[in-house]
Amino acid sequence: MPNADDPQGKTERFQTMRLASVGIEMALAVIIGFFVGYWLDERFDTSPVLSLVFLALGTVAGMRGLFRAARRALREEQRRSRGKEP
Amino acid sequence: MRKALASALLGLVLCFSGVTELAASPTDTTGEAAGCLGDHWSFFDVVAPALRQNLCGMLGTSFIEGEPVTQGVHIPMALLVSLVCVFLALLTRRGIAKSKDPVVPDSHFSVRTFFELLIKFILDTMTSVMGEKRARYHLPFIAGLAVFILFSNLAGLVPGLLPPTESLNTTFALATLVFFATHIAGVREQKAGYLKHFLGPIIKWYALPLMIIMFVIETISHLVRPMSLSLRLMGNMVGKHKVVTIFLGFNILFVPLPIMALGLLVAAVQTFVFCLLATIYLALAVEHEEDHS
Repeated sequence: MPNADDPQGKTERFQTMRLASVGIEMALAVIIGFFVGYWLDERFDTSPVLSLVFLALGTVAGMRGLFRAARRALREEQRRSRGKEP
Repeated sequence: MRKALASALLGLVLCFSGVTELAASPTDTTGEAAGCLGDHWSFFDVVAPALRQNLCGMLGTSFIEGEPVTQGVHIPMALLVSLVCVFLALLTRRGIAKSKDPVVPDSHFSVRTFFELLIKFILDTMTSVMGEKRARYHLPFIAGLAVFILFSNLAGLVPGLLPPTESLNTTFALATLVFFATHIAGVREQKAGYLKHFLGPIIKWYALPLMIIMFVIETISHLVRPMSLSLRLMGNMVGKHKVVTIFLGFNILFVPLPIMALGLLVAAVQTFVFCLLATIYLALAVEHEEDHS
């Protein structure tokens, strides 16, 4: 149970909110990657090579964000459970 | 310290109003694109009927597609909200200056106690994310953001006023501030070592191709942050406003009230999420690479 001097419930809530942003970030990474590639394609007249490359990079960025958030959450979870049992 | 806080708040809010105004114009295109603002009358249509046309004329054409700007009510709204924030900050400051012992809080609920509670809550939240020292250093920025966004969101519940955060221009201006603030804080804290954040796990000469790819990927994931911050805030405010509009359309007394109560919740939660994420981004930027790999 959360109480005043033990912010355990609090950190859990923060974690939830942080993880709530993973979905939108993943989607936006793909979109931004594509549009950066599209813009570069128009500049250098290399359509559609750079669009595809940056689409792939954006997807990787999205996956990496998801992976990083998951690892962070997992580590925090471990730290919490370690704190619980002395 | 409280005094310093109040004046810092004031300065920041003033800055924000300027920045919001400057950054407000670019992405604004047509009513459909911007989506929401100005599709019903506002307070400013009564006080200054030609205000919108004049503003749009001053803003000229937008950066996207070069179309003329047709929406602009979020700018006077943001200014109004900033003025309210400044006024409340001044009231708080006066309250602190007048009291005999500034450490003792007021015995009743006042503007001062409201701000004290709010800023204490923000400081506690920040401390749990980034530690006491850094939290105190970054408090004025995040608290300024929080106060501005909170009052902007709440303005949406006053009939005749439109929340400035309902326009992507305002929210994107705020998110851009966060974007620059994180990178400036990172460079200040670690100097050139900040670049390591962008170069992936292996930093050796033979891993140069990997480092280049990681640099692009990291850049994309950093660009995503202001987008997601601004889109989330704007989307929630537009959604809330639309639902309230629909329930108002039933023309039954007291029916929209539960939705407006929900709107209070949305306003507070979205402020909290924006500031929490901004704090987390700051914390990620200032901590060293080995801490978060």
